Amino acid sequence: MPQVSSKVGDDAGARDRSPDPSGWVDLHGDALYRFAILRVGDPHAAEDLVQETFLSALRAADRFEGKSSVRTWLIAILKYKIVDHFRTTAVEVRASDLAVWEEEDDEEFFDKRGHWKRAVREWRGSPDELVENKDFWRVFQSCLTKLPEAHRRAFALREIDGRDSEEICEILSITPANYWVMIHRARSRLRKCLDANWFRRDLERG
Amino acid sequence: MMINCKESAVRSSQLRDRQLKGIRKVELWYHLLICQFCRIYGKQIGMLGNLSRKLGEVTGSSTTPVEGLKDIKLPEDAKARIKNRLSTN
Repeated sequence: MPQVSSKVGDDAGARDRSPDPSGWVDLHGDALYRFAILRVGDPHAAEDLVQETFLSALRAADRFEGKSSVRTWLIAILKYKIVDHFRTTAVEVRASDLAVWEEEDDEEFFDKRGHWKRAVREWRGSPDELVENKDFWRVFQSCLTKLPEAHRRAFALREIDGRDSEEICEILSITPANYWVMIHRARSRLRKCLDANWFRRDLERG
Repeated sequence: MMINCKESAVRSSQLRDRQLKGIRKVELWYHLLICQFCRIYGKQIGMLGNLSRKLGEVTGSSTTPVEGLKDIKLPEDAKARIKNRLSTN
């Protein structure tokens, strides 16, 4: 069996097509962790999912055909692990909770006639530029983790992974009506958090 | 025919998911014609989606991560623990 390159890091790991598991953690651990933390939010859950991914891959290593890189194969396994994690740790969403959150948000954003309380100002920058900015990423991640757990999961599945609403309702065991409320509130809260903690400060910085 | 900004925000979210049809869509477009804040809001949730998709792509690809994400690493103690688990399996 060919040995994994001794070069450690993302560059080496990305090209690796060897199923030899001896260097997996050093070669792919960071990339898998980045993938998981963005979707599940909780660092400990992300670490556990990475570990489960490596263990599943180890059991299936004989079946790896080398048609893709090891990194791509591991990420495919991790995607299943994350969906399983969402299914097995379902967050109960009660209609009463949704109603309370909705009322709180409405009072914060809109006046009694349903008009914006504060001016909505244009944002500067493009996704390509922002994703390269470490400081923006920290703010984005912080805003994401502030969302209620169920909202964050719905947002991650819809906006980060691009899954459709029917699939998300099935994974999260929620009704379509609850999904529409949750995804709207998630967008609305995330927009507000980024606006306050990045884009308005960006304007102030000039 | 007139909806307010609160309703416009809800429908902008549904529009993004291609779930807005018929008269509800026409009402949203009519509101957007006259409301600059809601037009900006719609652009912002669109940008949020594009940004999230971009993050999804760069973390899901097998290539080197973008500069902004390179600092996110699996903690060393977790690496040691996982290596230990792998070696005992």
